[in-house]
Amino acid sequence: MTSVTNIETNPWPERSAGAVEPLLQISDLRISFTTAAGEVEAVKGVDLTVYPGQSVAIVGESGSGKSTTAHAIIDLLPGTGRVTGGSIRFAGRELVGLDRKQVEDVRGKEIGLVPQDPMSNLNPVWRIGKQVEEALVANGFKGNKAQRRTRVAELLAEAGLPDAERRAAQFPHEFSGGMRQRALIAIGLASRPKLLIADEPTSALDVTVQKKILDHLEGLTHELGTAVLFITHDLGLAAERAEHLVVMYKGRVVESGPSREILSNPQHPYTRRLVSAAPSLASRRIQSAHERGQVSPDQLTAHGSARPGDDVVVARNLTKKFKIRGSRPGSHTDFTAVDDVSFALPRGRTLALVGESGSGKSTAANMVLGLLEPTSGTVEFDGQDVTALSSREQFAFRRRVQPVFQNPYGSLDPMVSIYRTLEEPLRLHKTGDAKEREARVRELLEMVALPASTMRRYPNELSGGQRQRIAVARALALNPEVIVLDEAVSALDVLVQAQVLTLLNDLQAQLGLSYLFITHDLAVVRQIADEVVVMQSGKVVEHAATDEVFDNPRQQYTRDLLAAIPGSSLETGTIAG
Amino acid sequence: MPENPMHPATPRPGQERYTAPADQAKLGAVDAVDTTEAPSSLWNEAWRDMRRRPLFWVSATIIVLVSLVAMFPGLFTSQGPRVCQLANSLGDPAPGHIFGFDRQGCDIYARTIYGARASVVVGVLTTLAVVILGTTVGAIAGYFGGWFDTVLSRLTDIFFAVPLVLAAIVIMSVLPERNTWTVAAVLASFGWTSIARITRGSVMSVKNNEFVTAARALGMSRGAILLRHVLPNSAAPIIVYATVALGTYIVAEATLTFLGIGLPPWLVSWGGDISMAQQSLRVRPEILFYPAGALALTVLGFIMLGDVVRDALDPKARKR
Repeated sequence: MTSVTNIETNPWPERSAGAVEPLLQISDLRISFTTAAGEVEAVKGVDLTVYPGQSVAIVGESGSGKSTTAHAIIDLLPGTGRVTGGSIRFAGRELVGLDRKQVEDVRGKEIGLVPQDPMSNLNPVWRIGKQVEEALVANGFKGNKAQRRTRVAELLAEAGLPDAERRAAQFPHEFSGGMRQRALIAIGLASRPKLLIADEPTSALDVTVQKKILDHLEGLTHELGTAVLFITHDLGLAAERAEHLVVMYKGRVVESGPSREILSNPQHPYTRRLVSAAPSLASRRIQSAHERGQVSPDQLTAHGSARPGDDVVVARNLTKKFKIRGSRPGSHTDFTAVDDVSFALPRGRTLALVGESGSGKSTAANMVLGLLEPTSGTVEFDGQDVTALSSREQFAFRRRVQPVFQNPYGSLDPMVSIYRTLEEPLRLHKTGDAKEREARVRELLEMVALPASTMRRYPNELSGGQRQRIAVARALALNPEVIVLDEAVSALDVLVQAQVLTLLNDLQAQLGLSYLFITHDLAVVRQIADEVVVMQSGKVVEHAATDEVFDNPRQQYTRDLLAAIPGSSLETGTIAG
Repeated sequence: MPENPMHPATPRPGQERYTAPADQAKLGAVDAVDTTEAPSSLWNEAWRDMRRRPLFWVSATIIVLVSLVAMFPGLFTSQGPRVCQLANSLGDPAPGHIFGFDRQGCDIYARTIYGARASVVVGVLTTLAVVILGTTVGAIAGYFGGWFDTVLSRLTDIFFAVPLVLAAIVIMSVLPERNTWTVAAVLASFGWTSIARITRGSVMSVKNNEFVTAARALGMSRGAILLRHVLPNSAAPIIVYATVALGTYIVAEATLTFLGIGLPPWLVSWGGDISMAQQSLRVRPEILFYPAGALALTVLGFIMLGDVVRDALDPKARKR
């Protein structure tokens, strides 16, 4: 980090309370979008203050107006959006109503932006160095070619890219997600802005990478005295990284204040909901409706509860190798995605497969589902080898194991109505006549707490959480014993995620379901799983009961994963719920 | 211990603890379904979107009119297209003969009206054949992949390399019989490649969706998944291309007929009339204008409709 110290910045602006002028002061900001349905107000009077060198976070779910507010600061509102009222003062200057030229002077030079998606925010046909250089030149860096190159290397090194000079000559596709995000941070900080807007800077990255990058960003902005405005949906992350929190809901600020205070003593009902739903802050398994005493014992049905040693799915020495095309035509090398993995799913319980991207957890799940043939090893379902089934036996087996996938926008056919989506498995397996099938569809919708009228709708009319509940209902249609949940709640907002998790938990207690829960998010695991299998690069590194893994992790990798949960360092004490 | 500068004891101005009054932003139930609005499928939405566009009404009017003319030419003119008197050769417009007469003394208006049928029939037949053939080849190649894909894609490439009109000229000149069916068949046998390519790409992107995996996990057969889930979701680009292509097939038919190897001369068609109007171009250019204008208007109608349909089905491609 030696490159930072010789730069002329004042790392410690005056910090005495009250004496400093705010760097950014937003008051009563209103933003509207023009849609087919007329004018829609997305931000309804937001107040926000950021002091020099301070870190502030806006927290909210999708559609809360948090990104819209942030983008209004640098006049990057998408489409038809425009500021209809209020003011944005930055360093004593009004930003609302500036013409394009004046905004361009501020943008980049005084306010930097680290965008959300590292995959699409770098131009794939330009070298990384060129893109950083562009940011420098656009913001008035004077200097010849050699000076520019040196500066680019300095910036990239400062953002934490080793061997920066060589890296600068590479293209984005040669970078991993984390490295791209570092390059974007270098671009955001290229001209030493006074304020850096970080819009969900790490939500697309693995947790351990996320932690490293946020740690680095924190150190760097601290050193440079840059104020940071985080935009995030993750309350834990926000509270951990920012000193001041602004909670937004439906275009309004519902609560703001010092982050620890908000976390330990939320006042507004929405904030309370958010705090109690945040998986990173939850400390124990969700109780099922049964345990909460809302279901009478006789509602518990056939498949029954767990008896020790009764494993419904047993995976033995599962190995899956994929062929990767080699450099010469016709040649190939083997890539081992899953390497000698064994686990058992006890009946009526939840087993979580945890790992980062590329750990082989989804490949393992697909083998359990019988969608992928293992290279070696077996999957036994109720003592029967799934891989050796005839096609008719396999068809029968399908009824007993069903998946729910991650992407709520991809898991339902957009052309098919909800009714047909739910009826399809019944018709396929020739269950009942038309009337019975309709009754079953109604029952399924009720199970996932959706009104019966939903069945006339199409997937595009439902929210992500609702689609995910439909996907759960479709999985339940044939009364399966095992459901494989492949990142089933990862794409959902916190509150919706909590709702779906509670639903899954209730259904498990009601129907005696066994879940194989695939996730990258250890925080969610604690809420739903009984046992955890931690995977890394295709191998099982740790397998234990959930509490055991959390309280007493044996492997360094598991400890890293645990430490990387945003908000894990916070002591929240008792939380109002 | 010095005060932690990151967390000053007293909040600074503008950062005091604030809580909105609970009733200001009303908390709804988490993720409730809106039960008030009428259900609407993607097709419904596309239709609603199209309805609002003037271009849709313009193109739809043209197409409906041309189709009516093609189906019931007798409704639009009482003259027969083959009732020609040489005495009227190159005659001026007269009452009941608003476009005048051509070199053979035939009523130009009647011939323009009766010529619509040949063009529309060839266009529709060719498009149908092309969609069926191209979609089948493309869907099989894209969905089953591997060996199928390699063979079918190379086959498509071979046909793609042959220019449509050139191939049609060669084939048509050796065919024993020439009528609307043969013209459509020849155009279709060289025109299906674009649809095959479009379908293949579209199917390949749709088949990776999770709803396809979910259907597999339900035990649905591959063929059923292709027909019930993959093809309906791949249909949008095919429909768009087919609408535009219909216009271009009408042009191709007219080109062939103009060159004398498309429809036979005894069949009234715009291509044939344009060809004959050539001879009188110096004396009476209007004779060329009427069939050519009708042809251009029809083709324009289909291409405009294709544009509107594309905008409605694929909002991403919409120009702002």
